[in-house]
Amino acid sequence: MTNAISTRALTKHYEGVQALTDLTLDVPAGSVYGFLGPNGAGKTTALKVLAGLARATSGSATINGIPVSAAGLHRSQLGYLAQDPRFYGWMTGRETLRYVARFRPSDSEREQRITKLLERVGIADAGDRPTSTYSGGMRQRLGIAQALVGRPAVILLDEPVSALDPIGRKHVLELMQELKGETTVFYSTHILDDVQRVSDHVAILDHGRLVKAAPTEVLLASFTHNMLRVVVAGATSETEGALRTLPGVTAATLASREGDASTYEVTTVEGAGADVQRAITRLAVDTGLTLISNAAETLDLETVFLRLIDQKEVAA
Amino acid sequence: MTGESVALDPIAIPTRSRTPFLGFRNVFRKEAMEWLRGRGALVVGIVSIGLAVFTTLLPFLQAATAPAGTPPLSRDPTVNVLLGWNGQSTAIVALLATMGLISTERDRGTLAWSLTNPVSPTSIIAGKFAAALLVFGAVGVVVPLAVSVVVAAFAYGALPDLAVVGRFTVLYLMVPAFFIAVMVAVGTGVKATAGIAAIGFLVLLAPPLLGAVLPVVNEISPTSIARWVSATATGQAASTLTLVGWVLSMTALAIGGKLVFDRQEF
Repeated sequence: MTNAISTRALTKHYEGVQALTDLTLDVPAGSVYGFLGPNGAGKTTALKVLAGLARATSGSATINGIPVSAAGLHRSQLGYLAQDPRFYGWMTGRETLRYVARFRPSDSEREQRITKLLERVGIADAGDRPTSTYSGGMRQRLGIAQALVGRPAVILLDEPVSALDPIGRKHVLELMQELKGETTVFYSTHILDDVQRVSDHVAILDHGRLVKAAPTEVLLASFTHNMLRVVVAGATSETEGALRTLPGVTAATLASREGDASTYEVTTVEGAGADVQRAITRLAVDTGLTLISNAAETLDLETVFLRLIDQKEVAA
Repeated sequence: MTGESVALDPIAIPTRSRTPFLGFRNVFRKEAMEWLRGRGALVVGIVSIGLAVFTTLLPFLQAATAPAGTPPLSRDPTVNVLLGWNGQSTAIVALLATMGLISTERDRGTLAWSLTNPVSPTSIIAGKFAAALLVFGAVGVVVPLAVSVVVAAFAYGALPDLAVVGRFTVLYLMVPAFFIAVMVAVGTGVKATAGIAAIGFLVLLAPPLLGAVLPVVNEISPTSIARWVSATATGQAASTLTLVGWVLSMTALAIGGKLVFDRQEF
């Protein structure tokens, strides 16, 4: 798979602040890539460097194979939405899209594309009104439309939904999902639910350093594939010990008890999860336990994110 | 937001030869449109036409208000059309009209937004300069001079020398060109509009003050270009040093502005 964005040891130092340190990242073409991190992690700085609005102190980056530079050539491959998008208030929404589209080679379908984009982001009715009359949500939608109007290979979205109400947020996330395979979407956010919903890849940044980058599924699985969550009814004080003695189990602890149901967290050796699940089923049959659940533990991205950030802070 | 999809096949990459002025035409068009849709062009036009008509009719005002015995001003229509253009009014109007060209956009975030498109920083400043000069040249120089010609023809009963006025009009564009270039170049590095204006007025006022003690400054200063234009257009002797000073200053402003703007971050 080719990369839409590649960065190599990208570093940005502002006076007194190390905003980004050795960011090396490959964003596959056609992916929806979530760029996660707490406030001040360096997400916006990274996006600004990629857009050419800030210069890297060291390192390099390419957009669709074109080196990022102040000259602006790489921006022919790029659509960009700032965190707080601003447009010329005297232009209408349609004129704003036309202004952006005219920076690209002209084509006969431009006006048609502008009309369709206005419809697609839900502001067709306001397309001929000056943008000075737009609400924050409408500006955000126009921002997404202008990022797309040049048919870019990559769009960079800086916190695209953080300023939106729930309905607007839902619509924008749906749009981002629709774009999968159509273009590469690289977006920053601190809303973990959104990343889990729409991103097929995720990178986590903290204090300017990359903590982890992986396909979302792989990242979530990497934290859960050695752990089973077993819920049984009728457990006794010996059940925990019995679980520990099963082949392939390295640890088993009672996590909670609710009425007759007891929940155990069982850690297995690498690759033994399925065998351990079968052994637990047999144990339940042999000891008369009612097996309610015997599944690999699933963590949400928020838990993974917090664990990764915690691990990094402990390591530091 | 779930309507028909828009095809997003990546576009062709522009050739490198266009890079220095990548996106210039679009920036220029936008800037010209902003001048015309905003009140900038209208205000410049009204002020400049008002000043031009006032100075064209100055002999009548003098006759009505001057004490008896004061020698009358010339009633030559050409002289009176050109009368008001040697002062600093055009420079002041140009400074005031263009001091926020870059800083205002920087403040409202639209400069950074424009720069996320395939446009070179050079095109941004060149487009702003060119559009400002075109609009200011039209509404601040050409139209007021044309109105003055008409007013003078009626007031003095004879048509001014159109060859002289035409030559003067074309050459006089060098005056706003210099002051607009100062504002654009300073705006690339100075963020506050007030700071940009202060530097602009310093550029306007310092050479005459220095020239009082060091006369050669008056000759080489680009702020003396209005006098050079007037002398050249009317066939009088004009110092080549003034033209050289203007050319060198414009070159320095262009190179300096580009170098500073290329280093800016948003």
